[in-house]
Amino acid sequence: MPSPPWTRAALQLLAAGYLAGVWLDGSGTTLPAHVLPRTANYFLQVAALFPRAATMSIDYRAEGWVCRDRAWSEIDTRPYFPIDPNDKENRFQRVMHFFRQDETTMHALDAYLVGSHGGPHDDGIPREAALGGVRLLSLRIPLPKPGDTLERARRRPLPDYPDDERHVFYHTPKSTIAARCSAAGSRE
Amino acid sequence: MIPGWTTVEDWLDEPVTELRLEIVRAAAPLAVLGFMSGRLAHADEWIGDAGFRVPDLGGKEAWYQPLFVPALPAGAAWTVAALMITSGLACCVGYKTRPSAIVFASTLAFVAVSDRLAAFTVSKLSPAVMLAIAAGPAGSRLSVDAWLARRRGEPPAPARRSLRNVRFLQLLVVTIYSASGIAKARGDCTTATRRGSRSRSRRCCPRGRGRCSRGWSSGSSSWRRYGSACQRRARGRCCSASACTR
Repeated sequence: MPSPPWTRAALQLLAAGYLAGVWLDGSGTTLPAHVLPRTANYFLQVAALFPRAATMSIDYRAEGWVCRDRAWSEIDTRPYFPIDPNDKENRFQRVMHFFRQDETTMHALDAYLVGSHGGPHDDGIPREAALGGVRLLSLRIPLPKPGDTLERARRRPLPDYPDDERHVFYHTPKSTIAARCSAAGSRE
Repeated sequence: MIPGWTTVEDWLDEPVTELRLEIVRAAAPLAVLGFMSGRLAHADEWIGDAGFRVPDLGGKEAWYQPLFVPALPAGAAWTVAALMITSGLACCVGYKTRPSAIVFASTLAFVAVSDRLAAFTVSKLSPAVMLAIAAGPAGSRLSVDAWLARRRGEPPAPARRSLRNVRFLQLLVVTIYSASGIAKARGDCTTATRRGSRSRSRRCCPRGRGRCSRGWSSGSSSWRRYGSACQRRARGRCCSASACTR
């Protein structure tokens, strides 16, 4: 059944606006962001992918403060973020990529990781060892120079990386660590 | 009248083979479902309350969280996943094509907004493609709907006709690739090797490191503004470009 003329006109206007919005956003104009609601503008942000060259490979990791050892130990976050566990599309990688500067989100992530530890998943730290907090960091791994031997990317343990390739973005406040460890100690 | 508009209108209205639309109608849902399959298998973690959720930031991080959607209970998350798969497959085989395309587009739009962490270009683009399919006579050939119509004795749909939604899909490809090319040209892909891309790395910009980092890694115009501001700081305060390359 043919659509009424006003429906056709509205759809054509919408289509033209959408194409114009995608093009304007991709080509660097901020007009769509200024005139559209945030959610509508979000759907236009599809064209400007990777406009800048990568200078290093970035991998995000987490460490947990093991109360009984009084030491940091790496947490394998993949069991807690099971979608695409071994690549950059993993949700842990994404939350760190987008929100690592946002305190509220980092606190929520902290609580999620500490709360998830001890459950059915193996995160590399014994389940019975309570966690007091987390330290969230990025690894900035230099890209090989043109002509260098290429090695297939693989996940290596945190201690394999030199200190200057690690950048801590967040750690649980000491007072929170003390409180959590104290609570865990009284339970044990 | 805009000069040349008649030519544009002639092109828009020129009859095209409807098979083009049917190919998109059959292939696009499969491609999208294939892309989503890894997420659909973990629907309760993806859009449900079983996994980590970014809290409501109240518009503070508007570019990363355009709209806060609370986590769904696990049962509702699996229902949305089932609805997405069912409507996508129905659109693919051309069964109740228009409603199924609209439902599929709605579920895709929902998941794109619900979980920013698992939303990618495909997530944001696919609702538009599915709505374009819904807006036209998709499903009138090579589909369950066409088979049912034949059984009812209805005449077959014409093989060629004016299809503006096919033109929309064609223009979408051109739009995305041209905008993408402009974005890369405005970035550093033509200059990074020559000038040394380290000049734009975070290492050059100890002040406002967080803002700087947003500028390097994403395509949104706002992030690029932050990036440009950081570059200016890097040039003016931190170090000269030549020092940064070392």
